[in-house]
Amino acid sequence: MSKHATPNVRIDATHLGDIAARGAARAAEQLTEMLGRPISVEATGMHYGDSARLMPLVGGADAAVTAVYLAMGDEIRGHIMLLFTVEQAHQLVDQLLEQEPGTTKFLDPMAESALGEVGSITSAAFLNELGDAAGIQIHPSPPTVVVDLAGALVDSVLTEISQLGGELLVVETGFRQGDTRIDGFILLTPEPSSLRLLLERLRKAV
Amino acid sequence: MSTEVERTLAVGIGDLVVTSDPDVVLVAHGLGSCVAVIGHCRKPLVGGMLHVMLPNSSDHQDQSNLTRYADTGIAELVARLKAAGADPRRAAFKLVGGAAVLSVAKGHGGRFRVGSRNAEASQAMLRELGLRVQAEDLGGKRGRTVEFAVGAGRVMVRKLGEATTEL
Repeated sequence: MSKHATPNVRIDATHLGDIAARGAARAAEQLTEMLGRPISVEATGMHYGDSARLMPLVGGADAAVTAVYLAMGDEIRGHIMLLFTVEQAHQLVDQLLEQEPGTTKFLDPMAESALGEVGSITSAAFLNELGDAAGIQIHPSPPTVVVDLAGALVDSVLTEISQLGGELLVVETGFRQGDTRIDGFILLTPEPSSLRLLLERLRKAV
Repeated sequence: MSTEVERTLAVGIGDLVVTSDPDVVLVAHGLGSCVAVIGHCRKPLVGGMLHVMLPNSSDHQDQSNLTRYADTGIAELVARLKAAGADPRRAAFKLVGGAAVLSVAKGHGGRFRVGSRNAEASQAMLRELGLRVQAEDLGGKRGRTVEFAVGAGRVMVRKLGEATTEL
């Protein structure tokens, strides 16, 4: 079994910043259409590999968080996961289902499917922008909603990708409807071979 | 879970902490597929916690942090317990973690086996060193936080929405 190299391939941050911004705009368009009322999505920050830096942003490794997970298969393999604190996930559900703020106390099947939908649309919008820029089709799986300790969820994708020598990329995302803003975090972890393919294509496209 | 006198020390991914301070509580927050390997010796009092991220160092060129891997990390844990005066064969070893939190996800195509590989590699390495695992809380689909009070040798495990249990 060949040894996994230390990750030395990285998507150029500025290039990815443009893709993330366009992905957020695309997600906003689709969510607005789905909901029939305006919702804006911003990519507010991005950093590589540092789960220690991410943890405080989601309330610490011990905090309960809600994750919308999608696997990536076919030509581009890896994982994409949208993370919210439990409270922000409940707030987002109340907005999506047009309920009184504070109505959602736990995720029932309806709430899970609404969150799964948002996660799926947001992730797919971001991946489609990435795919369009690289000229590759990226196929995310259906969404799965999981509630658990932040550390456990992040470590699950981190170890999965690290065993292949890859890295975690975090895109900080803000969802805004009216004057309420809800912060989410997109964790993108393409497998290293997929990342190299994306990079080659992105460089040709520039 | 820790009392007022005790001082909590977080053991991050790939880290190893060994101490003889009876007031220290070593904590691994939010274990998913990672495994916490805990070693405790009463006389002299020595305790250590290793936060294993990946099973085998031989699979990776990155040898910059050998305590990330179960094989080299456990060898280092045992070496440091010895250096602090403990006899590893009289120490109590416990294992926590190695879950497959995202294995519930659709379409992941059989991934998320790192947790069970981390657990097996940790068990195998301790066996190879002739050391016995006294207790373990491994596998499943839920994340865990584990606290190890060095003075009392007490190991407490917490899962989201469940009561904390002593291992």
